[in-house]
Amino acid sequence: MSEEPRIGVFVCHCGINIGGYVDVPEVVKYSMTLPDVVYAEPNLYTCSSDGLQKIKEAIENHRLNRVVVASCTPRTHEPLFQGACEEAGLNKYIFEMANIRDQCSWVHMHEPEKATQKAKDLVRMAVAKARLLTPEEEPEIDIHPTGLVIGGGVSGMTAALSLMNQGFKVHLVEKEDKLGGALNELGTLFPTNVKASEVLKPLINGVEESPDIVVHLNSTVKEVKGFIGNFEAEIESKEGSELFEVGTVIVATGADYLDPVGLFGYSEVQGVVTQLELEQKMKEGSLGDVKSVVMVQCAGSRIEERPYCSRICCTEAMKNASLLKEEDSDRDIYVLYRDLQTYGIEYTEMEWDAKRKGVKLVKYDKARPPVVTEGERGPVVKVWASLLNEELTIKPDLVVLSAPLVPNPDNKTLSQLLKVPLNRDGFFMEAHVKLRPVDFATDGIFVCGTAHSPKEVAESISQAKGAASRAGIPMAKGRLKTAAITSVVDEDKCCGCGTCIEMCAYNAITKNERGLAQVTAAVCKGCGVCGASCPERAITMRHFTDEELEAQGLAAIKEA
Amino acid sequence: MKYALYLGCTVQSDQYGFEASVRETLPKLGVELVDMDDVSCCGFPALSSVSVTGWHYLSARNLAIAEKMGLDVLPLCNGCHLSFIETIHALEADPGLKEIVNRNLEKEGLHYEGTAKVVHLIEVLHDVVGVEGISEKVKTRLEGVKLAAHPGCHAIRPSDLQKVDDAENPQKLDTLIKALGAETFDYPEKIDCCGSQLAVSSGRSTLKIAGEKLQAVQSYGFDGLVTTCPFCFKMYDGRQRAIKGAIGDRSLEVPVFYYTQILGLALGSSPEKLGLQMNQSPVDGVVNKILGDDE
Amino acid sequence: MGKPVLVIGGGVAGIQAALDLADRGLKVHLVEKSPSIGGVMAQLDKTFPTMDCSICILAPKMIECFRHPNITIHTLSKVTGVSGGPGDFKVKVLKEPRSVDASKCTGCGVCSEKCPTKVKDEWQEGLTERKAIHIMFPQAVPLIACIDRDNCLYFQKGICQVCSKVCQAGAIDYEQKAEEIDLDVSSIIVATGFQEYDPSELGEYGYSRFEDVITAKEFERLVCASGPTGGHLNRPSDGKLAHRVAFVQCVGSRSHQKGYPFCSSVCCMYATKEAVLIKEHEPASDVTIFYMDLKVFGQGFQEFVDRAQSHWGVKYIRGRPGEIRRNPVTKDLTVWYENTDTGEVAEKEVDLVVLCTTMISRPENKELADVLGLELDEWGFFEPLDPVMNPIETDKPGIFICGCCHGPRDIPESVAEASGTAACAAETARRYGQ
Repeated sequence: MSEEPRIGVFVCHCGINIGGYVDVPEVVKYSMTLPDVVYAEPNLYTCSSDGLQKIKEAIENHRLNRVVVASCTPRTHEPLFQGACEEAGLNKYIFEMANIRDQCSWVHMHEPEKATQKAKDLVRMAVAKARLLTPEEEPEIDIHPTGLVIGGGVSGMTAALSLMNQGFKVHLVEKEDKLGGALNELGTLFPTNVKASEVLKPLINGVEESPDIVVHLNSTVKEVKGFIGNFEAEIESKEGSELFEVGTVIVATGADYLDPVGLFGYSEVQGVVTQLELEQKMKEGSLGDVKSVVMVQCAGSRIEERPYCSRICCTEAMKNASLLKEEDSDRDIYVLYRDLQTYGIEYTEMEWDAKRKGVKLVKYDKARPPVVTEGERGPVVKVWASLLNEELTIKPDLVVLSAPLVPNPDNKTLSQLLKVPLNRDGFFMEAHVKLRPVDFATDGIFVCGTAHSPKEVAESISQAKGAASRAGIPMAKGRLKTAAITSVVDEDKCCGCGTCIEMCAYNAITKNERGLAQVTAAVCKGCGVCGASCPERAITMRHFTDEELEAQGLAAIKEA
Repeated sequence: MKYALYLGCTVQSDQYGFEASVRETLPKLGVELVDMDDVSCCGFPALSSVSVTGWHYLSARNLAIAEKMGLDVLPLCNGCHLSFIETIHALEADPGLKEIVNRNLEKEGLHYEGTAKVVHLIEVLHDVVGVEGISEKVKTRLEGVKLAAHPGCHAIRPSDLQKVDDAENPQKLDTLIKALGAETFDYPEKIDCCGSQLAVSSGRSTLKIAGEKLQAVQSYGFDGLVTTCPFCFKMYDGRQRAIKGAIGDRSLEVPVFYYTQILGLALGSSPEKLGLQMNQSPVDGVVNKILGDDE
Repeated sequence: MGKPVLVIGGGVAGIQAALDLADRGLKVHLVEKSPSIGGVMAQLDKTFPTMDCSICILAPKMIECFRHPNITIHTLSKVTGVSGGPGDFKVKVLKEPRSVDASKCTGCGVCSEKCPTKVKDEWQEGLTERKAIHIMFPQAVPLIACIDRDNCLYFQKGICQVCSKVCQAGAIDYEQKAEEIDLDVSSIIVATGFQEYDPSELGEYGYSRFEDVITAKEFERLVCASGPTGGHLNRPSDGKLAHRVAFVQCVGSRSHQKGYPFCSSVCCMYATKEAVLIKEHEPASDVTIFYMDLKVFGQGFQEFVDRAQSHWGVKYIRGRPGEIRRNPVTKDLTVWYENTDTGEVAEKEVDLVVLCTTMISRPENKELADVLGLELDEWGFFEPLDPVMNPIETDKPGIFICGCCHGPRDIPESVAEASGTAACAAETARRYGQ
């Protein structure tokens, strides 16, 4: 390939989409007048197999080393044309596209003359950039086929087992002296009332028996260096620390349960417990002679300081209320709620079931919460029942507070360690709420379970499998090829201010031994924020270099 | 088409116009009406509030008489119609109750088996005679006359028992009005209750309820209101003056008709034969318009 | 390279599962019964709680599916037979004819422009019309025209053929026949989604009588810029701009009388989203949501509702409306309700009522369940192997479920489950040496 640019321009009619409004032959003629353009042709449909063939033939016959296609949107068609260039022996990064459809013919249908002029301008701009384009190599990295799962609860174990079944080795790190997490504390799980221990058994057996899963109990992750495919994790236990090379990381550290001290008489009035404590009493059979119960929902959630809803408490209350009634149908059970969060098919059925069993649901308003005081023979609950428009005074044997799940206090440390964000409530924040619910923005790190937000066991399991799928993708491929559109640091200009490192959302920039910015091309997404924010103008983007963009800009305002 | 005609109390006590117009028009449409002997009150609403057994016995007695005649029953009142329907369901669901009822009926040589069906005037006209059957007999089309349909509550509710028409969107009476060449359209208050049922306990409130509906009907530009229930008619027509006073609206003026009265005008019967002279609401204007008389 | 995986259903869940599998090197057959993938998410305007433009975040994934060398999309297709077991399922797929040659059609849309036959557009929820030959929607994947033979003049009466005359690519193929394909797959993922409850049976809401009482999906099309009114809230009856809007929750749900007894999970949130959309278009609008219990259990939900109230001024009234009436002269609607918090019975006059209907199972599930040998629950949804321990597996090894085909849920959950089923399929592939 010679040094001098030999540009070929292909202008597409796109049927009548472009050709019906833009004078395509005019644009072709104009293209030939541009410097360094040695060939130009019109196509009816450049994207058709016919059109692609023509591009390949033209590259060969006219020794083209740059290609511009003026047609539709690169969003859908750029890879197609790049593919054609590659098949003809060229590097795909010498290809440039001008959108004369979405950005021209489609929006200027009533002004064909102006549209044609604009198409010419767009082609001139594309040619100006193409002139300066250079071939690029796409970096490839090896992916270590080992996963690190932080947290040995139901989510962590599910993710670890899935990874193992997918053929990878796993390091499962658990800070307690046994596996199981929150489920070790629970009795039964809704909606089937299966014992939590029954759910854990196959998971723990599976994890412990597998030679591919290394369980680190009494351990924490001290440090994680590197990037996707090549993380170096330091796991610390009582015996000291060890370094492990892993390809991906899954955060499954779970959540904590609020200690609602000072709320609704907790720790002040006798006979006030949390729903978790009730669960444990029922599990151990140490409930005692309890004939009447008042459960208080939203005990510490959906309030100023903690605006979120903890999702599982209403259904949990329905479960425990029903179980208490099943044991003794004479029991008097009240559930004081604000909005009953029994959603979906099975949980709504639990609500109906509890009602059928005679559980009394009493609505209260956020502005007038129930008050729990010490009475002569136990707690006294006064609540303004808004639907009855009267105040109820109940003297139960037990007051049960449905307190929310709160973030694991270790989250802050772990988030700094992994350089992944926490949301306002302190839970781990995913890359995109809708479309990447178990990914972090940083490549290779994933999250699942209640570490992400309160959820019940079934959803934790689905999410854990989801995270295992996402983590499995790069590890299954073994190698990751990334786009060449990455940033480059000119070390002579870099002053080590670290602005780019702060700005990078993907943790793709670090400081090298000389304190200067260094881009990990494999993780860089080519967003350009670093380049835009560098005060020394030391960073430029491959395929969007300052010169290329300048040339395009000038071409926009100046005739060739 | 032959039915045992069950008049009930209200029709016989003061709703002569209804009875007159029914006897005048139905035969013209090929419906033969046979009077029933020795019938009693249907049990609704007074007895039904005091004794369920007594109510169903009294109600079933009338049905047993129709059974003996070998005919289906056509009651003229929405309330009577619902009463019979409820009795049929109750006796079917509770064989014990049916036994008690029959033991008592036997004393008079009557027996209830449930073979006599109960039909509603709207059903007879809409489903049996049909729109075609009516419009082909129409001599005077009610062109340019806008009438609001008021089917009344007991004809359409409760929806699991009453199948005369759809409980939320009854259209049969509307269709019957259109069959005469008159105009009608849906209005929000169409299925609102006339309030009669409450008249005993809360007189003034019911006048207000009825008044609000009449005001609405008037505001939509209707020339009049049409019903097939003597209770509803008694409220809207007979008590319209009291209603005006209760809601303080001197301008309230809504002509109220039985469907069979306007049906009769369309079929060519004279107003007297249809008892129109007994309507207390100001119907003359509309009647004259229909008959084409100069004002 | 082992056997491919079959994904049934091309909505967001099916798309996610297909991409996860394809990205890790497994081949995927994505079977979709309509002419384009995308599902319901493609019809939505924006998604809660982030207010992302729905098609904007979905389209790139749709295109990725199309271009991915490991994914084969089969549209206008359905699964008609399955035998075998995990690692070795033999599947029969019936492909209905598009009547257009996919290799030639460029999606230019001229055929549709010139076609003389107008039909109600189901994708636009019947609010406007399309032609007999049409592209399902502007961002359809594949972007290929399709002839609705039931309404095409050529197929019904043997006349017209205008489309083949104007098609410059010569892509119209009236002779195209239905095809039956045989696939050999290692596992099957069911992602067939949901449909909306038809509120016609709730006569008191007047859905079938009053044009301005619409369902949530109809509202999404109305407020969407690519919808029939260009995103302006012109109500269906007279085009009047709707300034006062009422949302009715729990339509067809939480009832043992009519509809279904369960809670549809997402409606409180999508109503809030739609209310905010109205406010975004016109801050002075009067928007009220009539609800039973406000379901705010998801991440960010409560905050979204708080913002809708405090920042946008959306009103929430706890009370299930008893009746909706229409003024015959103005066409305005009156919602009659009890505010259960204050105990007062009141009326509210509005320009438009949106019924937030339950997500229910698709009727096609029955046939598919028979073919797969799976059980459906009493509401027609697919059943998991165990609702706690195995929520995305079924009692048939090698067959997995994700998304709304097994109950109402939102997009993040559907997507996470879709990835989960991809993991299950990957595990199965490995277990059976595929």
